[in-house]
Amino acid sequence: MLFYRSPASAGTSGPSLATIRTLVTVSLLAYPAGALTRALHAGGTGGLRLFEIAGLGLILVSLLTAAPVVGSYFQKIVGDKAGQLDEFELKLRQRALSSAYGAFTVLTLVAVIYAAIASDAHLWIPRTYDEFNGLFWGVFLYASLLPTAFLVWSPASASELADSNTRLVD
Amino acid sequence: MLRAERGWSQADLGAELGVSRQAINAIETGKHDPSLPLAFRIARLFSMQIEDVFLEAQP
Repeated sequence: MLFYRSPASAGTSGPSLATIRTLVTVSLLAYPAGALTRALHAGGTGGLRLFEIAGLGLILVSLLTAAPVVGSYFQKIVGDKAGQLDEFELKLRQRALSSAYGAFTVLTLVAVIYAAIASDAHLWIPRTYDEFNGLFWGVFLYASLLPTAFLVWSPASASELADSNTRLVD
Repeated sequence: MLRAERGWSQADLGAELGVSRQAINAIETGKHDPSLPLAFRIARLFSMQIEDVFLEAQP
């Protein structure tokens, strides 16, 4: 979405719909799992140190699975300039962005409610620079990939993108 | 099929019309209804009337 630049190959080849579905799902699940694992076990020693390393590993997995998605045709649909898309792609983009906006709003509301009760209930909230940094990049990742997730998981969009002529569908 | 009769690929037709190959595929499979300007461009490309290219869906 932000800072997207269409590669020359976007739309002609690239990962299949099924592959992008897997990659985007793993990326969106692995990042918060890794960030929370790190945050909840920060500053530990011995066994707790392993949790920190595991958290970093999950974040690495998230970034590695996000990389192929960013250059894909599906990310072009949700992220490229409107002038670079045709009417069919704009229709798919509008549907994906609309759904993602609703989901992002719900996630934001849940986060705000959690933050409001966390300190009273002695729950974890971000305090250090490292934790806020992790939160920022998590929000950035979700803002970038959530529309793509809705595009590839929406039955209507997936059906319209289904194509026996290329590798869009396995 | 008009496109196949001319030996064009979906990518060829998409390039002629200025749309993606995926858009051509979606139109051919009935999953996307083209806008009126695009429908006119398609008809003009095949030197036909719109109603000869597209069939109205029956209720």
